[in-house]
Amino acid sequence: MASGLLILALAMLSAIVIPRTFAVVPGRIQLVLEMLSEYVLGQLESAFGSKAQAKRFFPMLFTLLLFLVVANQLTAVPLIGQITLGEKSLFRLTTSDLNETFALALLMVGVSHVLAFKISPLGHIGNFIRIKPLLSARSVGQLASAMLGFALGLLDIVGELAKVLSLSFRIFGNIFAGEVMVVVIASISAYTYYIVPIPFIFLSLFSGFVQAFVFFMLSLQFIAATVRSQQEPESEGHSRKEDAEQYNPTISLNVATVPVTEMEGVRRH
Amino acid sequence: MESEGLKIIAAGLCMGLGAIGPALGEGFIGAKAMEAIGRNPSQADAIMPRMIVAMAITESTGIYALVISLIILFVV
Repeated sequence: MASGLLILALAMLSAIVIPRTFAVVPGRIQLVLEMLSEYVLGQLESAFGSKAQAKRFFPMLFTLLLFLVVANQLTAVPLIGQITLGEKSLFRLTTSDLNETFALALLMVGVSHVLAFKISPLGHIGNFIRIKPLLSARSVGQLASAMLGFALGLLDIVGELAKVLSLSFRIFGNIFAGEVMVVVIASISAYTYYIVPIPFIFLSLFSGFVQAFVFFMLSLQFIAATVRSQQEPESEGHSRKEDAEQYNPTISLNVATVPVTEMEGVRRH
Repeated sequence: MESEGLKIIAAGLCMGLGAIGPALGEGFIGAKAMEAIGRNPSQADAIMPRMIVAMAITESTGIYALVISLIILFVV
């Protein structure tokens, strides 16, 4: 529990101290931070499809990634597990507690739904309770497919709950299993107490990085998918208009270029 | 047999059988990703994160097995 507060304190401290060292010619810390943030921004851009959206969600998701990366590596700090309060380790890994990961997963999936609901309330509810095709069905076949769609929409609600569960259990299971594995290996016998657990500690550190990245990627995908599913109709119509305006020039270009490439292909073969 | 012993056997079976599927799946994903990188090494940076995410999703059934066996051991 205290480890979460410790990480928050570290984050605030570094947020105050590190920007003072920023300069036009980047130092070491600045270089790493710039690389990381540029990479994350690129990921966000490819997921959301627009730079403005990516910049809008960047603070939240980048904070999530940094928090998880630091939180999963806290066991790498020597002797920090020995600090106890009433026989309980004060600085145990936050992500090896289901409460913390469940809260994070709930927050991320909740954010995705709130945003989609804010963009178009009826459209978002209509994704799950699909009444519209039921009402507009004209024949028996249409009615049957509409009823199937309605049932699938209800199943999607369960799917949303499963998202929260799988997201939270995935990171919890990995980190917790890493901890348990090290303890089990160390307690098999006196011979395996000292050097043998080292590869397993490395493995759990590595899986800490990977799981932080995976949690970030999956919550990004969830948010991007729900936000885009509500925005798509408007932007698609818009782009179709633009396409229609530019349609003729491109097709004439295609007609002009296709025979040349075909002839080249024939020659090469 | 005592219920305590049954619990331990059930948890072990649950974890062991539940680990088969994700292990096969992750193996397939890893093999295919290696194939793709071998075919087009310049795309390695684009393939790696996707491979890791796909692996994490495949892994989730194994995690469910872990959760169930933890529940059998400590809750039920």
